[in-house]
Amino acid sequence: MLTVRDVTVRFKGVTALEDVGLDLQRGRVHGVIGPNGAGKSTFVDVVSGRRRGGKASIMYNGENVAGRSITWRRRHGIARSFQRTSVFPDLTVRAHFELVGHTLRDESVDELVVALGLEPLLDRRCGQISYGDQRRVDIGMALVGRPAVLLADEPGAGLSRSQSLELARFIRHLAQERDMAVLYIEHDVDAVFEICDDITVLNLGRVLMSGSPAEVRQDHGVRDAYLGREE
Amino acid sequence: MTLTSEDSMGPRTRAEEVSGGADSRPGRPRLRAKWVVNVALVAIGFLVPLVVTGPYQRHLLVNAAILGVFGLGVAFLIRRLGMVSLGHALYFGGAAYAFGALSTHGGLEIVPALMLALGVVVAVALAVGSLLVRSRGIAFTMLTLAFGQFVFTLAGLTQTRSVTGGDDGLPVRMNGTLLGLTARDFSDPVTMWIICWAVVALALIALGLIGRSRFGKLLEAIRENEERVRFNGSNTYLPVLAAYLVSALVAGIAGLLFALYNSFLSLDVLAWTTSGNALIVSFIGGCWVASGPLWGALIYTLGNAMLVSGGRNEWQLYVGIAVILVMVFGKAGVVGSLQEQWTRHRERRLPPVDLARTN
Repeated sequence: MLTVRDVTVRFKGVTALEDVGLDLQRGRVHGVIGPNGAGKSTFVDVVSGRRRGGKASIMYNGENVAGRSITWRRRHGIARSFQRTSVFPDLTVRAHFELVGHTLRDESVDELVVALGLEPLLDRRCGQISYGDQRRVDIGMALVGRPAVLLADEPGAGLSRSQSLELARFIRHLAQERDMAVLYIEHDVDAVFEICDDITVLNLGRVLMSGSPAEVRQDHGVRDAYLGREE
Repeated sequence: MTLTSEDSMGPRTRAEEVSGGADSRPGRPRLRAKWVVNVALVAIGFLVPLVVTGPYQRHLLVNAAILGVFGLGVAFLIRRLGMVSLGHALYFGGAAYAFGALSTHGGLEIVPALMLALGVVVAVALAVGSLLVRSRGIAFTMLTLAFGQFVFTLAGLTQTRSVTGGDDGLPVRMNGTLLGLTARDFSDPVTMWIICWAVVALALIALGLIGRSRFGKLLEAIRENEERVRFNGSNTYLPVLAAYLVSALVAGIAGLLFALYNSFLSLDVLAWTTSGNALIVSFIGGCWVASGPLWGALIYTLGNAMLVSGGRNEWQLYVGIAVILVMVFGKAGVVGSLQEQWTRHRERRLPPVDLARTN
């Protein structure tokens, strides 16, 4: 579905990512974990088109889309949500979904709004709703148009543990229901191990380990660098 | 599977509770009432010459209305996109000069000259805007200034003097009629006030409808987070260019009103200070309120007349003080600040809301 290879990003001589790659497949959730500064969000920036250039190869449906714009990628099914909520404070929740729905010609937005539990808030301005609801609007906008790939950059950031887990399960459910490939970045390791089919561990800009949750959990290198040893 | 949230009904403001929500359907009767009030205000506006009887005062009102329409165009860009132009005299003066040249040198009648002048504004705005709207912030402002000054200088060159009249100015010779009105009628402040007021009403309605449309909401979204809009699959270049065209068109219409009323054009109408005046009235009145620039233009024009005719020529000093006061004490402008005060006053007078009941 989406094959990413050779992602290398340097900031003024400092290497943020070095030859990072992974595969996303339909209906599966691929988690990316790693300590702060590991390069997780930078990696999503490259895949989503926010950061272009370099020798990265992003094969999507048989085409290398590394040079394509953000807008092109979104219109062709690669969507992302943000670590920091990026709703439009002066627009109502309804206006958010109408705008994206119209752009992407998605007439099933109402179902999505119901599934996200946002129906009672449709006529409220996004600047006036709670942070948790703003997160759901943010995720919702990324799901409009039934994208083939969802790049979820810490969707649970700022939410309570239970809310974050609920959101993670919802994304897992959508991946299977919509046959959507999901790249899931999250600090909540329990949530990642619960919902992901595959996990890539990044450390200091490099891939430390990639495999199933069980394999990752067993890996000594990962436990030393990130998970910690159980007493 | 659906998501649920404990905090899905966050506390509403008291004004929202009473009105039924910021944009909710129970608020519609209030919207209708607002429209009734607006229609009444427009009707009353046409009768202003019955109250303001002095020719000089009427002249000032016409000038204020023209400057106000110009301000509406400039404020549209600020309000919808947060983009500040210092070069809209290009469209104000450009439309006036295009009309003047087509009428005087081309011998065209008023209606085709007006239409063609607007066509020129759109063509120039399309050409200039397609380059300008790639930039944002201070770069955009400085580029608008540069383009504006480029055309201002071009209009004053010896080579263009035969068209623009150069420093001597261009007396506009109007041919034919517009709705039965001749050049002499356009120089009459009462007739011109009625025309200007009709244009003001139409401009407010048109800009208001644009603001409420999907296009207007897209512009707001671009203003707040352009990158996010691109991540929603929207192209942001064309909507911003379209907004720039609308803004230029309104400024151009103001320029045409100026040419019709004054029948004489000097290079000042293309100068950056003319752009600055439109910006100043927008900030004084309030860019974030639909009618803000109109009130700003009224304050500016009347203030100018009172202070200059009183023998005090430190006009720019007073303008500077006024802008400082607005920026320090009420960034929303005079009308915007009054509106904020009124909203706070209403909220204080509302009965307490039982949040337990509403949540």
